[in-house]
Order: sequence, then structure tokens, then C-alpha cells
Amino acid sequence: MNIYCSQLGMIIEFSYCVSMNEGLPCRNAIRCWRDRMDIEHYLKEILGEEGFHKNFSGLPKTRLERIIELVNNLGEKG
Amino acid sequence: MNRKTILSEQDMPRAWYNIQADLPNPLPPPLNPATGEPITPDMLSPILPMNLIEQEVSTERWIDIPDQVIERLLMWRPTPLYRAYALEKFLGTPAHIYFKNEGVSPPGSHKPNTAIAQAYYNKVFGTKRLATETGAGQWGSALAFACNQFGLELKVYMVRVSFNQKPYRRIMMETWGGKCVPSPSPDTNAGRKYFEQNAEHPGSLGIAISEAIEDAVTSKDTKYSLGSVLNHVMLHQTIIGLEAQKQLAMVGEYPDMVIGCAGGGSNFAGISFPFIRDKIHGKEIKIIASEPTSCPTLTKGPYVYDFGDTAQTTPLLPMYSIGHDFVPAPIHAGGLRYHGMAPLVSRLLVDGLIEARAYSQLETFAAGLMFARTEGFIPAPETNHAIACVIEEARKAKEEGKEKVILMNWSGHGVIDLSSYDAYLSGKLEDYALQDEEIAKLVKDLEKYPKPR
Repeated sequence: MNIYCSQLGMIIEFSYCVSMNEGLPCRNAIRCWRDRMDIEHYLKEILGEEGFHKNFSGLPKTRLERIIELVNNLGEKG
Repeated sequence: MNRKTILSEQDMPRAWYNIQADLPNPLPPPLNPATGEPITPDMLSPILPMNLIEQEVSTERWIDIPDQVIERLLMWRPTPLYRAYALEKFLGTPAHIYFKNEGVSPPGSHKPNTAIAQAYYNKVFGTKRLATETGAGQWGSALAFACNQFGLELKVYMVRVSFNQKPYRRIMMETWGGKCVPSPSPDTNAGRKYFEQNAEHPGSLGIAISEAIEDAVTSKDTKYSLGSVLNHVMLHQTIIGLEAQKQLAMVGEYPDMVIGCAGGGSNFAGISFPFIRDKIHGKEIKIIASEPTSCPTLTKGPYVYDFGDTAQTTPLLPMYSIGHDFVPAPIHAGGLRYHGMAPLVSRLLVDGLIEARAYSQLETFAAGLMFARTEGFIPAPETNHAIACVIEEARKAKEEGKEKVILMNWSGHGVIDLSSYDAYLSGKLEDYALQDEEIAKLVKDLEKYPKPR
């Protein structure tokens, strides 16, 4: 089953949505698929309650926050 | 009956409009996630040249466009403003529909408006090489074109699933001299750990960003470039709306509403910011950001599991963290938390200066087809979200018998996205609820992927 992914700007398969993040689902997976299936139930089955909460808990970082975090982790250019 | 309104090259705007000068409430500074302190310009200096960082934080209302940028923009600008007579006739609407055709640029979208500017500022700063990531390749191809114009090297990390399925964008990048590699790649530490596990790893935008940032930080004379979200990107795109204002004045019209699709926010910002300035100063005008129901960043906010209270004493509760439907988002210490959306656009929504609408994928492709079969041009799939909104408003104008003037940003053509149309036309795209047996098939399909840890 396919969906138009607005993040990638292309048609992708369901299997990508639920495994693209180091084997874990995309943060958008619930929003993208919830009108078409009981995605939360499905994800809880494959991730377990704890894994599900770990993946979807907390507020997502903004793009700039992610960039700064990456820069901080890499340290100053030598 | 003029179908196109053409602005002369001499009349192309010579300054960008910075909406930060007119915001009723200033944008809160983003916070450093490590310290909780505001992000300062020096934190961005490892990845951006100082001249662009200055623009990022500037509150000057008008910023002159350098002559060398003007010279390159004139390759395709000013872009024509079209009156969509055929679409109006098909809909039987009294509305006047105008669209700004940003698909006439060499890469076929609005993206080079900022790519050219960013390449120029990097060049004068002394940067020799840029690194970036791209999803479907629209940004990568725009930046490849721009780097070619200013003699900069470019490396693009393209999400592998897209790299494999969209060869034409990669070929465009290479035609302009950019180097495009599938991400995860073996070229960076960030990519190597995934690449070594699975050389055919499909990748993600997150991994591609990590690779591009690492490249920029660790390579000599290299900076990073981003085609959405940041303030200076929005600034460079305002030339779209500034031109449209002049063109509408030439035909004696002023819009009742301005519509743009909103992904990272840059094309929406480009068409709307100059009109939002008018709105702030008293004009009655509706500004609508159109987005997919599948990723309702503005209409729904991030759906996350969050603590029900700040002390984090309650169990995790599933909720839209910004409240249901159109309830404005709470402003966290770190600023607005719309994932992937430009903070400036998010701020305008909270301040009530814009509104947001969401459309399903089938509605948007149906709208795109209607547009292609009336106006001729095949829109990019993201542009279809704006068209769906225009059609809805044009039909409403018909019901009300009102001669509304609608302005839309036609942000790019879809000639390189025909596989999406193919999926739609062959019935592979559906919005309906999945049956159990279909879900079982999806689960089976998952067996080929590594299990979550």
C-alpha cells in the first residue's frame, strides 16, 4: 500500500513508514496512516507498549535544533 | 483578455522583504537543545557563512538584492502571472484565479530563488564547496544549478529510496556539475554505520541531514545549505509575492485571498509575506496555507505522546500536543514546535494572520489533473495542495455569486514527478480505510526489514 510522503515528496510504501528510523517507525507514521487503519494498535503490537511510547513520546525537535545538536556533537572544525 | 501579465526586467524588485520587521510579536529565539539557552549566531558559524547568518537574524524591513544575484535571477525572472481563464470556465466560477508560475526556472520550481542567493553569499564569503541533503531532489537540483552559476562545488546526500526511484533529479544535479550520492553513504561517519549494516538501506531525511552537516563541519572551506525553514530562505523567496503585487496592480486587481502550499514553508512565505504586510497594515485579505491531511503540521500540529502536565507526573497520553484542530499552539521555551515548518510561518498562524487547510492525497491529485487538463501545465504534487484549496474557494465563490480574486503560487511543475501521477492514475493511491486482509499483507511485507531493537 502506498502513500504520498510530503516529507520526501514521493510515493512510498507502508513498510518504509514503519521501519525507516533505524527499524523504528517515522514520527509521522501515526498521523499519515491513522485514517486508513488502526495504526496505533498495529505499532503497539510490533513495538510493544514501551517501545511505542519511547518512539512517539516527547515533542519533536525543530529542524534548527537538530542541526545545532549535530554541530555540537561534531565539535569545532579542525 | 490578457492570459499572462509580464513584468519587465527593469521592474523586477531590487530588495527582499523581511517580515520580521513587521511581526506583531517577535519570533522567540530557538534554543540550544544541549543548554536550553538561545541559539546565537556564532553557533551557526560552523555551517553557514556570516553574511547569511546576519540575514537570518536581521530585522531590517528591506534587504537589497546584490547585482550578481539579480543578474542570475533574470535568467527566468520576473516569472509570469497567469489568469487561469480555462480553469475558471471549467468551474463556472465568477472568481478571478491568478497563478504565479514559478515552474519556469531552470530546475522547474521556486527553489532557485534562494539557492542562487545562498550560492552568491557563500562565494563572496570565501566558501569553495557546499553540502546539502535532498529528499526527492528538488532542492538538490536547484542548488546544483546555483553552485554551477557561481563556480562552487556541491555534494548532495539524497535519501536512497528517492535516489533509486527518481533518477532524473540526480541526472539534473550531475548535469549542472553537482555530485549526488545516495544516503546513507560510506562517505561520512553518520552514513557509514547504516551503510555497513545494509548497503541498500533506504535512508531517511534525518540520516541525510546528519551526513550533510558532518560533511560541512569536517571538510575544508565547506558550508551547509538548506532550502526551507530558515528565515533567510523565506526572505529570498519574497521576490515571488513582490512581483505578484506589481503584476496585479498592472491589471487593476488586488487579491481577496492568497494561497500557497506549505511543506517547509518557503514557497508559501514567498507568495504571502508581502501581502501579510498589507494585512498587518489594515488590508482585508485571507491568507491560506494548504497542506496534506497525511502530514497536517499546521492544521493539527505534531501528534505526539506527551506528558499531560509539566511536572511529568501523569502517564503518557496520546494527544495532539498543540491541542485539537485550530487551537493555537502553546509556546514552549524553545519556540514553536511545529516539526519541519518554518518558525516564521508557525508564528503567523499563532498570531491569526494566516489560516491552514488540509487536503487528502486523492483530492490533491484530482485537483492537479483538473489543472493540467484546463491550464495545460502539469503541477508538482505539492503544488496540487494549493490548487485543491483554490478550487474549493472558487466553488464557494460560485455558490455565493461573488467575484473573488484568488492568487496562488504555482510553485513548480511535475514533469519529473510523473511516477506520482502514474500511481494516482493507475489506482495505486487510495485514501480509504484498509481492511484486515490488506493490513495482514502489509505486515507480511515488513518481514524483509530489520526488526526494531
